Amino acid sequence: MEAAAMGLKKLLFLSSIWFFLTSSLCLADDGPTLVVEPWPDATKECTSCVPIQFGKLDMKIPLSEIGRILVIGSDAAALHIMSASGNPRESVLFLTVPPRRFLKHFESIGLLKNLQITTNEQLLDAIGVATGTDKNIEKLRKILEVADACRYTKTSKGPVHAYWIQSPLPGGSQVVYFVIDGENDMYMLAGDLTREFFEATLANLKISDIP
Amino acid sequence: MATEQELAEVRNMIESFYEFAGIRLPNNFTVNEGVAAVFGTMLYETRRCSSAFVWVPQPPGGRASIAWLATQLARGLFNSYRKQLSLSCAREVIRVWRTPLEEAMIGLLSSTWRLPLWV
Repeated sequence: MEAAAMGLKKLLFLSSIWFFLTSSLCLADDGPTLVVEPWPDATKECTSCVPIQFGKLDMKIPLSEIGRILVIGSDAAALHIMSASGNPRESVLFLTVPPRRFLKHFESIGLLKNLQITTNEQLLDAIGVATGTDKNIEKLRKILEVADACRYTKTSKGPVHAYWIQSPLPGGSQVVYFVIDGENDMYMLAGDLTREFFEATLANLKISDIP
Repeated sequence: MATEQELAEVRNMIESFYEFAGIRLPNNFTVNEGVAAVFGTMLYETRRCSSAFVWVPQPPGGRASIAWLATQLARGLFNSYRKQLSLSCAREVIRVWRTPLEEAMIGLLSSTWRLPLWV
């Protein structure tokens, strides 16, 4: 009886280690499947928030999440938000992703052939499932870093959809694509992204015309 | 055809660039001519936000290759230039050019990316 109990304990211990390893190291061979999550609630008025508009993304980011806002000369429109810790490695970056760098590009190199994909949302939904058979989908999952991700989530509110490709790698490897219905341009949020920053960004996000 | 030593030199440069930016390289990281071309573009693009690589001469045809990178930036030269680079500049360039780099790694680098030529 005692030996059986010991054996059961050992089994439970080993299975908990296995669960920890597989969940923390993302050992799924073919990468994650897209999971739909609820949009974070704006539970209260954000009184100490900084209004920031990047393209059509009209956000209110809590002051506690911002150490410095930085724009540097570069080809692409980009906005760096450095964390309040002062560590420059803890920063995120907003970028515009025009069609020539996404949908039109993948179309032009034949990766959307026979896939019935005509919008950014359809493409980001399609790479949410490892087919194992469609080589183009598998290539797109690889190129867009979904195949090596830990989790892949989608959250939507009205015309906005946020896809978070959650990297298991430390450092600035997180990627969120913002897709707006009817818009050709997408936006990317990349870098050392925390869930707090992600939820704070979404909670008070709205779409506004460029003033 | 690139030699093993040239491949190793270019690999070290790319690793050094990513390490400096605090970003981990993708799991499938490999070096080929397409990767060298995109990496060359990344270095060229840093000129828009830093003076780190402004003294590197233009590659033949305006496009970086493994042999050109190994000739111009090997033996510690890359890290010497890198010291003048800013972290935010490196992070931005890596993010903007990451998808073409991923494509190049699986042998799919497309001419539709229209990599800017060194001028």
